Amino acid sequence: MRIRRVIIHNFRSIKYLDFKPEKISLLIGGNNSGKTNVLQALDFVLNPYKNWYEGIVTEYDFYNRNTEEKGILSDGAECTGINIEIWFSDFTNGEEHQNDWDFCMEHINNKDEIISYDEESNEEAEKILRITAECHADLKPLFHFTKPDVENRSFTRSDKEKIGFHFVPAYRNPLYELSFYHNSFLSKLLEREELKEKIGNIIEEIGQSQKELFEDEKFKENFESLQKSIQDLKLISSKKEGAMGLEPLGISARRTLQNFGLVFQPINTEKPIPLKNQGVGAQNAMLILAILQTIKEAEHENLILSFEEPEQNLEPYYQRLLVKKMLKPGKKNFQLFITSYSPEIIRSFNFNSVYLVQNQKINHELIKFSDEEDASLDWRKFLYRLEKRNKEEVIAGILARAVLLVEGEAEKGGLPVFSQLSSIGFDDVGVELIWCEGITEIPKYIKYFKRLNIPVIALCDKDEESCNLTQRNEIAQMADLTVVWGSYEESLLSSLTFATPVKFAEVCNKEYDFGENRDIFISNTFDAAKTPFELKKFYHKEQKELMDCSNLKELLNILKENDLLYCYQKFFLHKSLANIRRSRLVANEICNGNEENIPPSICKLIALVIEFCEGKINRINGDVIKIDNCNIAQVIKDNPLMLEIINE
Amino acid sequence: MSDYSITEDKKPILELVENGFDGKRLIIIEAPPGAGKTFLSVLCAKRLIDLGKIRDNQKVLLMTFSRNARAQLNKEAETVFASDREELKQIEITNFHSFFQKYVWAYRSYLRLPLDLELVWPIKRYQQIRNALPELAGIRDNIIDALSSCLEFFPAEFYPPISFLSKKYKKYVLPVKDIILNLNKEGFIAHADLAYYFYLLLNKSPFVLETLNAKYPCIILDEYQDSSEFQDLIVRKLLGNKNKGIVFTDDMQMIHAWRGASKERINNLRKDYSYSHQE
Repeated sequence: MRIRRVIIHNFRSIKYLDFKPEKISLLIGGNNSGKTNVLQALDFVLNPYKNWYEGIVTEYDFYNRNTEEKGILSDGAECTGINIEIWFSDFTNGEEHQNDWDFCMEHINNKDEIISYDEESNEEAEKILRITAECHADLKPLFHFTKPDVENRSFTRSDKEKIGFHFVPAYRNPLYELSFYHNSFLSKLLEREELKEKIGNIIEEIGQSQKELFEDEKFKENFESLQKSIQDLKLISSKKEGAMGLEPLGISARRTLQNFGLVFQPINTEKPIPLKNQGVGAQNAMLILAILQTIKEAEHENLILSFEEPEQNLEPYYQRLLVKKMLKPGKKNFQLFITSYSPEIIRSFNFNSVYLVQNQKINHELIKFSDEEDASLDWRKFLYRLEKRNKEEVIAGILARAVLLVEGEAEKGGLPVFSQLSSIGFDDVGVELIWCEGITEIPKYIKYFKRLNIPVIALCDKDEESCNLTQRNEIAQMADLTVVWGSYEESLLSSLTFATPVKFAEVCNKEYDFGENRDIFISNTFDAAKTPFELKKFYHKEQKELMDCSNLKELLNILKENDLLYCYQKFFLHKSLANIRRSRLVANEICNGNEENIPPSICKLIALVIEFCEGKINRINGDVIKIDNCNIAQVIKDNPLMLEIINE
Repeated sequence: MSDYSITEDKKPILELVENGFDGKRLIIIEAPPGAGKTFLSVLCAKRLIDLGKIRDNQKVLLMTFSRNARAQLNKEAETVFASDREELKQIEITNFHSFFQKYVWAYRSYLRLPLDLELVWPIKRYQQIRNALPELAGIRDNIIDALSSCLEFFPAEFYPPISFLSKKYKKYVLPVKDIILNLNKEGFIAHADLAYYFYLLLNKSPFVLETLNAKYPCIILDEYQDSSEFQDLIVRKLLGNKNKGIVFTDDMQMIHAWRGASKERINNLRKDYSYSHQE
């Protein structure tokens, strides 16, 4: 059995949420986005061991602190206060008729509508079980089966136990879970009915062991004299033996077990150390292992585990390892909910089981990273490539405040280097760079990130060869901000560092030694597929002279004399920087650790992105970009949705 | 396993139960009154549970025709399970109509019956029929009774002859059926309508029958001679493809012959499930 749908009204920060989880669901989202409240809502309804008589619900558990807050249920009826409905499906091993649940089953069609016997879709109807928890101003929660036919039949502790829901919150206590407390994971794992007798024996033995005390003469003497004084009062029997004795009192089976604590012998010590003296990370890792073991052992029981931030206190290696184990529990009737911020965790999941939790004004949304339902083949292909090729990058983008989409590897490699050196850069405003593999792919990336409600800035080259106007217009329509500039290479050439050919040669020689890599500088550049016509022409005319150059400086000087230096540099960079690592290296060489060396166009670009993130650049009525008092960029006249970076 | 006081003649049957019915699906036991059938049926249920044939989520269904017989079964069960009260959870003692009613009630929206559904007694039902069809105003109660139980004779789509009605009244069967179906939609249902809706549920739902088959791996039926054709059809559904049944019957005790109960039905059951045991 698994949770198929969760509908929440007015619970804590959640005004309304309708969520259809997968068998494994990872919830990610920013702080205060409501991830925990989704799991808390499940815990509220399904945890059999919450003692509701103790007034666990408070005014603060109601949305907006308003116990009269209204909502509209799926059948159109109005509800007041907290209302949480949970749907179950996929029953196995006779779960559908345990506790007489067979009376509570309902028929639904593939659109999740509840249907009757005479409807067309009846033959393919699936069975579901619905549970409702509600709480009103009296703060007394009610739990019942939702099906109207069973007239609010209570959803009891015994029903909850069959579902096997466990919540491991972020504020978990591994020391508690790894002790023999009632319903702790260690108890669940180790305690069995058969153990009762053994525990009885232990208690018995403690009782017997009191004899040892009387082997101490002084103890015995004092004990007996006390007994005698009491006997003199005629309060107790006057027998010489056993009128006063010692017995272990108040030793329940639970307490007996609780006296035992886990100890571990660390690798480099001789003696075992109690769990509480181990590192917090180790405690957490051990807890997760105990949970995994419990999952494995409970082969025939249903288990729905919701686990908040399993990455807590764990090094990346353990994070990955544990998640991998968690995802392969080798158990059929198991459903998992995880919340996380950790990219290490997120990347272990398939995109179609990852949900982004977003707190919109009137409702919460859980948006799947990759929703392929009803998608075109083209879009499915794109999503496939996205997940298979740049998973890490996309995850970083989804966790960011905004994404900057760039065409090529050069920008992807170089821009972050400049940004980090800037006193305010992309990291300060939470912008992540995404390399889109060419301008034609940018619209797809925009669509992808916009679906997840992430603000998108697109950066396009102006050079006519790679960009036609229609494409740029399409991008401008879709993105929140579109910035146009000459090209990344042109920007680099505007840097102080590249003011002289000498420095250019030095930087290039760091990556390629001219002596050994002459082809890269000469034939591969002058005579390549996209070599500009003037360079090609010059090469065919002056090939011999170029080949005679003994170093790069000489070559650059010849080009300078022929007014081809800029053209050559631009094309050489274009070819050479189509590689993230090389681009990163060149950017570092240009800056040499000095903020002042950042090329001016790049400074402007960074400033523009920051202004956008700070809300200083806006779309007005959706069709004009508004930018005030700005000397770094201007709105393009014939396309008011684009900004062009001003070159001095 | 020898905790019960078993008289000589019950032993072979319990042995048969222990031996997994000798590979057969059904045991039919013909027994005269006073042979201790009620006690034996509870013993059989207990034996099945003790043998672990009934899993945690499953139950043995003991179904009788009348409420009286159900009460007797309950009494016997209290005795037989006195020392294993936990095991009582694994048996369900009921009569046909109550059993149908529970499911019809739980699935009334699915069956397009109103949530506000009232179980009406025969007197009210007769009145409702007479009101709807004034021609029947002066007709005797026993005829109205026969007509008003007509849904019980409409298994699914076919229309069996209601032999006990004279030709004169047969023409009213179909109009009365429509009246009853309408009354049902308006929120009035009588005991005699329950089997019709229960059968509809088993036939139309893609999973209810499956669930019941899984829930009740063994059905023990008492006083089977009194069951109707329709109930027989339902029992066959509940037996499904692999469930087992123990059927007690006594031709001498047949008191509901006019309802369509017949000796032939037992014979057919015997034939179709090909096993019987004569006490």
